[in-house]
This record gives sequence, C-alpha cells and structure tokens, in this order.
Amino acid sequence: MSRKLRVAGKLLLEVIILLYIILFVYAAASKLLDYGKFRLDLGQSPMLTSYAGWVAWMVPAIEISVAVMLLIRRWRLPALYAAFGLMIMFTTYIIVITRFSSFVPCSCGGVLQHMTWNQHLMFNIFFALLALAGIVLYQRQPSEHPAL
Amino acid sequence: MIMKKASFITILSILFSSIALVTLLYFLSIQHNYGKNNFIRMFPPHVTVTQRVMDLHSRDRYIAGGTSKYVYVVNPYDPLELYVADHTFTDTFSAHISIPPATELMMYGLHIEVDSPYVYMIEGLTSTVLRGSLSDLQLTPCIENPHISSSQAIPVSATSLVMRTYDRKLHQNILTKLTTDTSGRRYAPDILKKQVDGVFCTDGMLHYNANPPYVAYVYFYRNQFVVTDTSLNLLYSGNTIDTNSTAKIKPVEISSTGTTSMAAPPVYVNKTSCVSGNWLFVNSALKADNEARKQFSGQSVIDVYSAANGHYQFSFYLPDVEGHKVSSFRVFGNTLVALQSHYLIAYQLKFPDKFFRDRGLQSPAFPSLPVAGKAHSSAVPF
Repeated sequence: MSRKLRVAGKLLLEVIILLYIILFVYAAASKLLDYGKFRLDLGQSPMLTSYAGWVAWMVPAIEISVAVMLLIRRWRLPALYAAFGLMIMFTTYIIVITRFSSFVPCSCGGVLQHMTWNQHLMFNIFFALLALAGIVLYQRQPSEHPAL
Repeated sequence: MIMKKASFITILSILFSSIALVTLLYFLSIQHNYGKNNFIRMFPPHVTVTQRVMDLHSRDRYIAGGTSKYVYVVNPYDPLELYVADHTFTDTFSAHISIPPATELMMYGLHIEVDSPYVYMIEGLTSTVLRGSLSDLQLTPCIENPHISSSQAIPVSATSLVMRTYDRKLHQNILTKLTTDTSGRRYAPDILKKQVDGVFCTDGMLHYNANPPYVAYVYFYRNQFVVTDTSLNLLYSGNTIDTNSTAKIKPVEISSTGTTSMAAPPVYVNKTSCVSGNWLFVNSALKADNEARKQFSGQSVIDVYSAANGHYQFSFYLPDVEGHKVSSFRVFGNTLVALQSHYLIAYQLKFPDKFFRDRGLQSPAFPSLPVAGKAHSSAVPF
C-alpha cells in the first residue's frame, strides 16, 4: 500500500471516530437534558413501554461509554465494534417498529427531530457502514497500537 | 483479504446478535403489552381529531342517542324537546316529540332513548314505555304494563326491554328481561356478581347494542364487565386492563333511616362507558404505569375493547375543555360525541388499521384512514 493511501486511511479513521464521538455525546446529552420527556416518549413506544425505565438510562449510558472508549487509543477497536452493534440495534428497532409493530409512535421532538423514520433508517445504516469501515481501517494500520 | 478472518467473524456475530436482541425485545413486548391485567395502555398516535364544540348553555343535558348522521340531546326538564345536531354541528335544530293526549308522565323519572330508527320514552314511576319513529316523533305505547322497577331500563325491541332490578331474596342487583307478548319476565340472577353489599358493589352501566345485538354491563368499582345476548344469556365476562378486581367500597347502614350509604368515597374504576358496533369504550378512572400524571389529569382516557371477546385493543385521550372532563359520551360510526360540562364536543375517530389487521379483525364502523405513522419521533432510542 502506498504511503499516501495509508495516510488517507488513517485520516479517514480519525474522522470516523470523531463523527462517532460527536454523535454519541450529542445523542446522550440531548436525552439526559430532557430525561423526563425521553422516558415518557419511550413509554409510548409499543416495543419499549414495559422496559422504558431501564432502557431510558441504559441507552445514554452506553452511548457515553462508547464515546469515552473511542477517545482512549487502546480501546478503539472494541469501541468500534460496540458502535457497530449499537447502530445495528437502532436500525433493527426502526425496521421492526415501522414494519411490524401495531402502531408507530409519533412523539415529535428530541434528537434529530427533523428526520422522518426513513431518513433515520438511512442515517443509521450509513453510520453502521462507517463503523465497519473504521474497523477495517483500524486493522490495516501498521501495528504500532496493538489491537486487543 | 480486506480484513482478518477473526474480525470478520466478530462483525458477523455482532450483526446477528444485535438484530436478534431487538427482535427478541419485540416478541417479548407483544406478549407483555397485550397480556391480561398488565396495567399498561397502548396509545396509537392521532386517534381523535376534535371537530366541533357546541355550547349547550346548561350542564343538565344528556345524549339520548344518535345515528350515523345526527346526535340527539335532551333537556331532562323539557324532555319533549329533542335537540338535533349533525356530527359537525353545522346543521342544528330542535324537534318536538308528541305523545298521546292524556298520557300521565312523571317528568323527572323520564328518559328518552334514541335507537335508530326508533325513539323510546321510558318512565319508571308510572311504568310507561312509548315508542315512535325518528322521522315523525309520534310516540305510542309499545310495551304494555311493563312494571319497570328500575333505574336503568333499555328497550331492545317493540315488546321487550332489559333492565337492572333489585332482588329482595338475593339482596343484590340483577338483570331482568321483560317481554310483554310471550314469555314475560326472565330473571338473570347469575350475571351480576355480588362482592360486598350487592347494591353498591354491583353498581354500573347497562348498555345495549342493536347491530350486532348484545347487552353489556360495565361495573363502576371493579375491573369487570359482562356481555350477554339480548335474552340475558352470558356470552362472557371481561376484565378491564387495570388490576382492581374487588370493589373498594365501604357501605354502612344508617340505622335511623334504614338506608345504606357509603362510609368512604368509592374507588371508581370505570367512570363512564358506551358501546358501538363491535367496540366497547370505557372511560377509566385509573392511571396506567406508562402514563404521566400530568398527561392523565388533563385528559379523559378512553380504553377500547372488542365487544366480541372483551380483549383490550388500545386507548386514546379526550382533552379537557376549560378544565371539564368527559361526563358522558357516545360513539356513532366514526364520530365520538362527548358531554364536557355544558359543552357538546364532536371528535372524529381515526382508528389505526394495523390494529385490526394484526388481529385478523375487521373495523367496519371505521373507514380505513392512513395512520400518520411515518412521522418523526424521539421514541427511537437513538
């Protein structure tokens, strides 16, 4: 691999990680800032209503943890895996709730509130692919940072 | 090789386990949400649209009934004057009910019931039942010598009515059907179940639906309702979604007057209710776990049950009007008409199709309207 490509790859990895940190910190913060409303909204979701109590604090907690892990170099790979898993879960949730659930909750506001469900779906798939790219790029780096 | 074999396997296993976890959550939620006595309400979005508000200038009005086009409101102090309004309240007029001359009626025990295409007048004190066509409002006696000894009586045909009566031997309320042409009285002592004193604990609301024909009785103080055919044979006994199975009332006998009264305010479970076609609508007094106090206190919650089997379907809210909650309501086709203090409010119902499709049910009374479901939401955890 040429040196140029390797530098570009490294830069791209940094950009992906930065995007993920911004995304997760923003997502978690906006949930926690209006925690009461977020909890209530989850309670109205036909899928999550029974679990709204613990899902409401677990989701922002996990988002913050992943963001912190992404900051720490040696934890980057597991963090990228976790980010990928999270994005797949959110994507599956959107697919299940829009296609199979008995009704689609409509409580307007919150994170990325101007997106429709479909835009949300595309956004999530895009980010899941970014995480995949991140994992590949991380492993192609010269092994100055040993992968766990 | 674009990536190492090991990380490829890791990615695949994360992919599948993530999908599996959320899918599992979905199947668990189906069981949980629709399970019996799990006190959680389901709120599909945009079920009701407030259409019109009409000021009746008095709280003493009741909804006598309606058709798919009109709703009929009666002033109990002037019961021969029928107030008629179409569902959008744009066409309103009043019509005079004529009764045979020399009919003796006690005005205060009199009730008008519109059951298209007829209008009935039931008067318990002199035991008079009159019936006429909605088109001309000329009432004539229809059930001869009915001997109504009841506060709640509903005509189910030209010759019969169902009512709630007091049984002296059993010391409790029972349901009775009165047929004047053939079989006479049929007592159904097993339909209402005594829990505490037999009178207060069995108190509730009697409903009749013509198409499909059935009689429903919804208890005030416990999470139950019973549905029978029009001959008062039990079809099933259903539960409302809360867990209040025993009437929480404290009746005391007042020895000086020999009457029974309440020692403590009763805990209402079902405040008001109605039936329409295949659905039973209940205005519950109890808050579900997934409702915020603020949400619950500023609105009236209506729970919808299938009248065919008593299964809970979903809930929706009717907002307070100037702080006034729903005191009574009726559903005609896809219009819900509610009395909120001196206001008559028409709500348009848009029931989510998916509900009926998922359960293999038909929603004949409600036209298929799109659910505004593709809207954005913060209920998505991301």
